[in-house]
Amino acid sequence: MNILVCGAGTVGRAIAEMLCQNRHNVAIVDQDPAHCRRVNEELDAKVVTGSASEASILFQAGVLDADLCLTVTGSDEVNLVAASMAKAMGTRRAIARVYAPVFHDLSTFDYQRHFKIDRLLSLEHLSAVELARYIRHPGSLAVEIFAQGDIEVQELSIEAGAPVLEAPIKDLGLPKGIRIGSILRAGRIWIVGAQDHLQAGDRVTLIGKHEDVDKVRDMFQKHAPPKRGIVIAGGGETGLHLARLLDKGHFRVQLMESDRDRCSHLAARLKHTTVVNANATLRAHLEEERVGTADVFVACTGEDEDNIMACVEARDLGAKTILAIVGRPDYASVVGKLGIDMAVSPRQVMTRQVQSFLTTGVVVSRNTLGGGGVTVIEVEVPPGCPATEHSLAKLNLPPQCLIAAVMRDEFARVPGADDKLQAADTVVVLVADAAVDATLKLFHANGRR
Amino acid sequence: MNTLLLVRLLGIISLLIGASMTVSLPWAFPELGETPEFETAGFWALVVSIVLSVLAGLGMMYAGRASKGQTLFRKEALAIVAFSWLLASLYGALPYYLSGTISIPAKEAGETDQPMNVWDCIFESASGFTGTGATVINNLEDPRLVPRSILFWRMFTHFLGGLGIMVLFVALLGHGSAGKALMLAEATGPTKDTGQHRVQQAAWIFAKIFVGLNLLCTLALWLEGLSWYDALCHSFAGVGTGGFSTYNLSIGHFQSVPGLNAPLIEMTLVLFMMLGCTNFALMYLAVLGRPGRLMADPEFRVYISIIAVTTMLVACFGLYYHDFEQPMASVAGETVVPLSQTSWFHQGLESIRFGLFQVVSVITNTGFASADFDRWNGASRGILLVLMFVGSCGGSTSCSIKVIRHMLFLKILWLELEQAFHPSVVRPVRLGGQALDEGLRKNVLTYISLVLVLFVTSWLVLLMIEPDSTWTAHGLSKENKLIDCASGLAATFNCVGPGFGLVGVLQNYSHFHAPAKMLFTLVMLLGRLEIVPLVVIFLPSFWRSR
Repeated sequence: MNILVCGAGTVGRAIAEMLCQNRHNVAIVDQDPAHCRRVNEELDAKVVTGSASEASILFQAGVLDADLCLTVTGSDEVNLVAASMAKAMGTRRAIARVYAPVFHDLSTFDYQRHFKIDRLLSLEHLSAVELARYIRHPGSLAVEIFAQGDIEVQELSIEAGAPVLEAPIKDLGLPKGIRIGSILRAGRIWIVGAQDHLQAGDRVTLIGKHEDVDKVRDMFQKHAPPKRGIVIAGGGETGLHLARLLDKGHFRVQLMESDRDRCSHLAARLKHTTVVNANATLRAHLEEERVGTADVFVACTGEDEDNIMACVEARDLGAKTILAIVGRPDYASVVGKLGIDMAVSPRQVMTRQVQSFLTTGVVVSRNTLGGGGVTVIEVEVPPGCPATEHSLAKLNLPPQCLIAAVMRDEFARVPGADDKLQAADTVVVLVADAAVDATLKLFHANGRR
Repeated sequence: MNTLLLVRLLGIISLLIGASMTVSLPWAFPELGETPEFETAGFWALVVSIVLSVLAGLGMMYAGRASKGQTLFRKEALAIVAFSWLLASLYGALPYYLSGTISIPAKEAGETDQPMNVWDCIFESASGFTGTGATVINNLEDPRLVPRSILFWRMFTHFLGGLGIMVLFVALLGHGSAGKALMLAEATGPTKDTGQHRVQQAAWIFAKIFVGLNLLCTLALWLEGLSWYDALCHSFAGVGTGGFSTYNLSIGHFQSVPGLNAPLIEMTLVLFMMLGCTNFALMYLAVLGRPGRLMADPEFRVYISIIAVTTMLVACFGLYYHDFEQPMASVAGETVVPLSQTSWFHQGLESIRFGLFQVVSVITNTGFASADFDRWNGASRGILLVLMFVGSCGGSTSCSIKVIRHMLFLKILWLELEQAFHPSVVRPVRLGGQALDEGLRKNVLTYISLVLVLFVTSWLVLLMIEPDSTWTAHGLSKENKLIDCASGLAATFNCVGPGFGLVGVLQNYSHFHAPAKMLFTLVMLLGRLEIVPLVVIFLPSFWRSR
């Protein structure tokens, strides 16, 4: 594939390196001659010096026949403009990295749609999602992030004696607009089929509008499970995103931040999170905030060393699960020995995310869920493909495949069995790894790949 | 301090007030004022007052002419607001004084009528402008004692005060940053954005809604059988949440007029009092077709809930203690059936009628009465006394502390209590999901402490300057002095009007001596201007240039 990377900072270089290793044709654009020189020496890639927001520079870098354009410079505005231009000039897909949370906020304006960019990615948001995946059910996050707030995914544990245990899923009479996504039973995740019978102790995901999901919750469990206590150390962008991802749901989130003004800023934005003005590197503060009783402790301050030390202290105090952001690859080998259950490296997360976009045809992105066995695919429905010919019930979908959400006219919703897909819809499909090819066949024009 | 500018702008305000007195002139004629003959005293008192205030205004404008084109800063804005209300009270007192309006009429043949002295006049005028409705005039109904044109001026001050002198000024003349400073200094409570870019537009909207409500109220009252004179006067007092009436028994008077539907009139006034105390910016949005914004406003919802709950409480207590047995007045010759001898349904309806009217009258700081609530049970009176300090929505004609400040105050208290055991937690004060900034937090605490300090101080001062003999001379027990004084101050500070005992519904403020009246006047102005503008002009540092 021909890939254009704008910006040769740490992130840009890491992505370019990964792409070069995977034998893609990479072109790199950067304003700084020193960066360019360095990349030129290190990587087998075409390097163009100049501003990514200049059309002639993009042209030189071969934007016309690029399959993917990634803009990862230090400036949000340049990234947005460059990605938008690249898309207009003929790149098949464009992805921009943004830092400011305002670009993710859809309440007033949809920047992604306006600039016709395929995806806005934020390193901090991705890291937060990666951390949240460890705490929440990974499949639910994928759908929720795709639906951008229109759809909620709730994870429920099924209690003994719940009404849903009595019949197979197709006979439960779940209302329209509610789907059961996946089941987690004995450490294995799979997609629900109509014949499946739920068992007590299963963790299932319910997909649907917030109020609909609340209505049927009683069928699955009678009592809300005890809330899990989460302590997040560090109220940077990552901490804020993570707290947002955990804000609703079965968590009691406490966010520690040492800067008083930042605390007020965070507290104004997080409704259900308790923000405390405390320094996670001080043991006295960790003790006072009772980190020892937390179910999950997450360290995401800006410094790797602070994160690691805070985690070691938290482990010593008795926190059950310890997660951390550790950026430097040098530390990767020791974090496990220090009692950290998972360390997330933002750069790795970004490169992995980019890999999910190295797809062809109609697939926008493709991710494997943690735990394995299930893939989340985002597909643009092309005109004339078999999927648009019948309603979902009559469509010959392979078993172990679920169309979890449809984005049409800027609104995401959960499709029912009678709904029919249309060209230009975007859908999220949860599918067992073995059935991916059979599923994608439905979305290729004329049924061919 | 830019004294020249201050003098010039105050001159303009004098002109405005002088000009506004002309509205009262036509009512001196028998055709309009329903008087037996042309009211010479009232008419000429008004004319002289107009001439005096216009001349004073022109003089002040001439004296300050050098300040033309200079800008207004925060200091001047506060001073102008404080002085213009003081000036308005003075000019407004002129017609009472010049017409020789009678405060205490002669009781026996040998006595002479006692006209209002200087302090009475200023008290009455300030009471009108601030929308308090506390009076020193014992008999309002005899045109020989109180000329109808003067009575109209008395009611019209409620209109001017309810609108706000600065709103009027800015709407007519003000523009630019000066107008903004003036409006902010006078506004009641934390206001909401009308979505207007210019302050003059916002002032116009405020004025339009206020005048519109007055027109509607007048029309409604006229349709219900009141004369144009009474309809206008009671709409000024109702929408402006003042509380003066043209009758001695306030709204209760209409119960004694044959052919009038008193409950209907009362409910009309309840509606307009409540509208006058709803945030005008939200009402504007509602008129534009977005009533959802009003309904979703947390302050409005709490305001309505408080009215509903306290009405039920007052009605239930009233039923239990038989407070509503006899109406305040009845049509001559008609026999009155005591309430407890009527059906249960009728009893419930009547107690809600009296409870609702009095609760709304007090919470909106109007001070109308449809029953002698001074004779009600202790619990109901206690509720009414506390409601005086509650007030209604910000950005309206309401005085007092206001619902929004109480809401924020309780939230702040809650957060402060949490701080006691968990000092590191950071939590913003939220209102309707929106986090509010720290500055407002401090403002609310300061304001409520100021109210408390000033209330307690003025209460002590009043207890000391008013001799016990005032009570014994009127056949009241001097043991009631503490509560009567407290209720009187609560009623004037929150611009309600009637309190309990010596200042109850059937009594008035004429029994107090001159120093006490001065204190009441000051307290009313403090309450209407939300303390700060009036207090700062007494600070020495306010007048120092650096």
